[in-house]
Amino acid sequence: MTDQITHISLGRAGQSAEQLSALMDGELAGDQMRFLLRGIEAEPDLAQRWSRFHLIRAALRHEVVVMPLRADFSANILGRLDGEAIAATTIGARRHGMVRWVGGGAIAAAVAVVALVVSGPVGDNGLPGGKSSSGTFAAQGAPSATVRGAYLPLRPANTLQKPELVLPASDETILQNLYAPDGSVMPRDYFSQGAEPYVLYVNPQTHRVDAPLPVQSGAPQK
Amino acid sequence: MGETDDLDRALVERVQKGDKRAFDLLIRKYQHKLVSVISRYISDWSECQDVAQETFIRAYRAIGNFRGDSQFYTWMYKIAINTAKNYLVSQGRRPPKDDIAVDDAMLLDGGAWLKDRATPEHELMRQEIEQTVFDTVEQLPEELKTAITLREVDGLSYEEISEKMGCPIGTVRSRIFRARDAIDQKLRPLLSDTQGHDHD
Repeated sequence: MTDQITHISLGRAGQSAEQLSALMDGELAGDQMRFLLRGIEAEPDLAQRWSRFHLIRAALRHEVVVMPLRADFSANILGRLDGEAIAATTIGARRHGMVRWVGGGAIAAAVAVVALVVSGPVGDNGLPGGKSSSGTFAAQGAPSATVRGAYLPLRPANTLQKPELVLPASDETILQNLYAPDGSVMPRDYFSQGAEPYVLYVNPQTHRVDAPLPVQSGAPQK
Repeated sequence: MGETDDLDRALVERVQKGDKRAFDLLIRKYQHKLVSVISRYISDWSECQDVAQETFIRAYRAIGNFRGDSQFYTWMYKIAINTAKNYLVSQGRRPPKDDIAVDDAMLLDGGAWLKDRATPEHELMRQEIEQTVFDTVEQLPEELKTAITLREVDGLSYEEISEKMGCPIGTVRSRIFRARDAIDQKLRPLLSDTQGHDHD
């Protein structure tokens, strides 16, 4: 009867403490243990009680000399482990970012290689099949049907020391026509017959053309 | 004891799934035993605690590899010994050549070892704690005293205690908890006096 009254009078914290006592005796079911572990997070006193219950056991069993440890003994360990976990997460994120950056670079490089391979040799006279040389026009494969018709300054790749402009990946860089350095439009034939590769730099900020340029046709005028 | 193995295994499984609360319980369960083991190698109490903390950190990092082939405490014990030896080497001190086997360590009176090294302040504290525990048990109502004694000293299960005392298992569980709680109430002021101090 006394046991029942005491049991009923136990509050929620008391019930958790009783479960803790049962847990250390291995007399708590798995589900109850799971709930109790959640409770320990909400009630830090339970963890301290667990320590003291084991201290009592150690004393009663003469297992070890009962000597008080630092008050933050366990908290210090868990704090260090949390710190390691945060550090590991940060390093992982950095590595992930690096992988993404390198991956983006690899894709860009692959596109550049494909562009170089697709472009066939052009002779000094600008006709296909001839010896390659530092030609005066560039080819830009432009599968899109949309024509913007903006003049784009062209420079041979080997004359470029350092890229002046870096395009964000999201920018549209759709070029449909071939232009000679003087601004004349190259015939489409050259496009299909091959062309000297050039690196094309486009700055959408400085080369934005609102009004469409007249589409020219015909052979290059030198 | 079987229930200790089962409980440890359950807690370890939870730790392996990333539950740090379960690891907290394992630390609190074994902290005194491990510090006691380490104190056989390192005499300074503060250093003992440092090495014990490092032991738990190493154990946590390696717990994914713990398969339960041995008892968790045996596994921890080996890590503690290695950590203590490594610490001595790092300090330019020579670690002892002979190890104490874990089974022997359980049987040896680790208390005598520590008592010899304890400062007068520590010794006083130790005596006070132990005295409080035993005095409180003596003052408990008979049914609580019997229940806690059968459990902690004789190591009986709740079912066995239930049969011996002729009461339901739920009552046994309640009595054991109330006995522990009563001792804890007396012990708490002693330990709270020490909180915040570094017992070097």
